[in-house]
Amino acid sequence: MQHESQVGFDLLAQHQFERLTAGLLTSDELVAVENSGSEYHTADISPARALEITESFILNSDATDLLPSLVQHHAFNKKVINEARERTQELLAQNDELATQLD
Amino acid sequence: MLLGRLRKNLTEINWFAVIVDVSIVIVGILLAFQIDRWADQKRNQYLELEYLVRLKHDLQMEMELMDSALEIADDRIRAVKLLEKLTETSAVEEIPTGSLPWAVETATWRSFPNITSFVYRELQNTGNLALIQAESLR
Repeated sequence: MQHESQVGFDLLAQHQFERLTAGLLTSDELVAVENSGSEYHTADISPARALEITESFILNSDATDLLPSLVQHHAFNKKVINEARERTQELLAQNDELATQLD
Repeated sequence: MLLGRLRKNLTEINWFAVIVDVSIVIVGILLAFQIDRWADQKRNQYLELEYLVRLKHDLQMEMELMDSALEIADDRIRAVKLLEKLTETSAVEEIPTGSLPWAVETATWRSFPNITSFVYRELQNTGNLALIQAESLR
C-alpha cells in the first residue's frame, strides 16, 4: 500500500512539452475547449483561428520533435497506472477478507 | 524464648486458609490483567476494523482516480497522435478544425488527478499502522 500510495506519473516530458507550447491557445480558448468536454467540435473557435493555431504548432519544431516520446511516455504511464490498479484491486480483496474475519 | 514463641505462632496458623487466600488474590490479579488485555485487544480490533473500512473507501476512491487517469492518458495518446499526423502530413484540411485546439489542450494542460492515500498517511502519522495485522496490507 505504501508503494501504491505514491503512484508517480513521470511528467517531465509532459512539462517540457507544455513549456514549449505555452501561449499557443489563449486562456479563453483553453476554457472553451475544457468546457466543451467530449463535444470539443462545438468549442467556440473559428476555423481561421484553428488554422492559425495549427500553423504555429507545426512551426514549433522543438515541440513537434517531442511528440513521439510523449506517446511513449503516456503509454508507459498507462502501464504503471494499470499495474497500480491491479495491485489496488488485490489490496481491496485482502482488506475485505480481513474485515470479514474481524467482524 | 523469642524463637519458641515464633515456632508456636507458626504452628497455630491455618496454612490451608493462608494458601487459599493468597491464591484468591493472585488469581484475582491475573484475572484483572487478563480482562484488561482482552479489553485492549477488543479496542484494537474495533479500531483496526474501523481503519479497514476507511481504507476500503480510500482504495475505492483511488481506483476511480486511476480510472480517470487512464482515460486522460488515452485521450492524451489520441491527441498526441493527431498532432503527429498533422506534422507528418501537414494535411490540415483532413483534420476537423475543432479537433486541433482540443488536441493541443488535451496534450498539454489537462491535469492528471492526484492519487493520495489519506487514511494510509493518517495511519503512518498517528503510529497506528501496527494495528493493521496483515503485513501485506501495510
